[in-house]
Amino acid sequence: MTQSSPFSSPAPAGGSIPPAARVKLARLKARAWGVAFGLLCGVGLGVATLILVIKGGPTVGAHLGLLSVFLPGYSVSYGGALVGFVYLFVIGYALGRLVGSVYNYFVRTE
Amino acid sequence: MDAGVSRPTPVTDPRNIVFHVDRELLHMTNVDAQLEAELTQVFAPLDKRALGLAMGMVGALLLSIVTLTSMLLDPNGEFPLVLLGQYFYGYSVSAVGLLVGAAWAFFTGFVWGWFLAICRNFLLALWLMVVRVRSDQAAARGFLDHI
Repeated sequence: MTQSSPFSSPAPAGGSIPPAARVKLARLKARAWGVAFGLLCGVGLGVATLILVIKGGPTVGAHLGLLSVFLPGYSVSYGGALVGFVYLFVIGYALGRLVGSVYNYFVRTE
Repeated sequence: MDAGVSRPTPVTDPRNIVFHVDRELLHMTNVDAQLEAELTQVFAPLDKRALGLAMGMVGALLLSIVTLTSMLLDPNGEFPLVLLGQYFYGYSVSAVGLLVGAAWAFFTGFVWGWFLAICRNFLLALWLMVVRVRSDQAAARGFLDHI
């Protein structure tokens, strides 16, 4: 992996950044990834639910409603949008945090 | 003026001026180094292999958990998870399908992570190049005025 500062003169041959510094530079903020993933997932499901509710029809969100198998309490309704947002935010946060942590682990062990 | 009566102010004393300039330069150097270190961290490229592995492993774990949950909570197959078999050849909501699905999810996640890192690094490099070109242009804008 090569890391170079875009704001300095080109690094001399042989690599000027020590391995420890390179690992530190390459690390991700796992919490930030968690929040980003969580918001992405939560807002995604919330908006999808709201769109179906606003659109209306004889059977509102017949397929999306099946998520209640995995997310107890979730339904295609205004309240369900909030419940779904919370569920998916928590799940997305965990996944994002896991991605960041695993990434940092692999960067460290390279 | 008697130096013993009125102490020279730091500005008028040549030694202090040198000291002040040195300290100012040192401070600026420190700030520049700190700023450059932080900017380098912000603009450091993502490691493609590490992100691919991370997303692949998390994807495999996620699909395994979802399959296991579906097997335990939804034995009648109300949630059509088996439709994933349309994309993941060999996948089904079963113990064997769990392993097959995990392998597929790892592969898919790895490709997504790798691709995401490439796209992010490429766009970042492109943006930095644009900033550099604009900066160079701005620096050379007044060139003709000096001729």
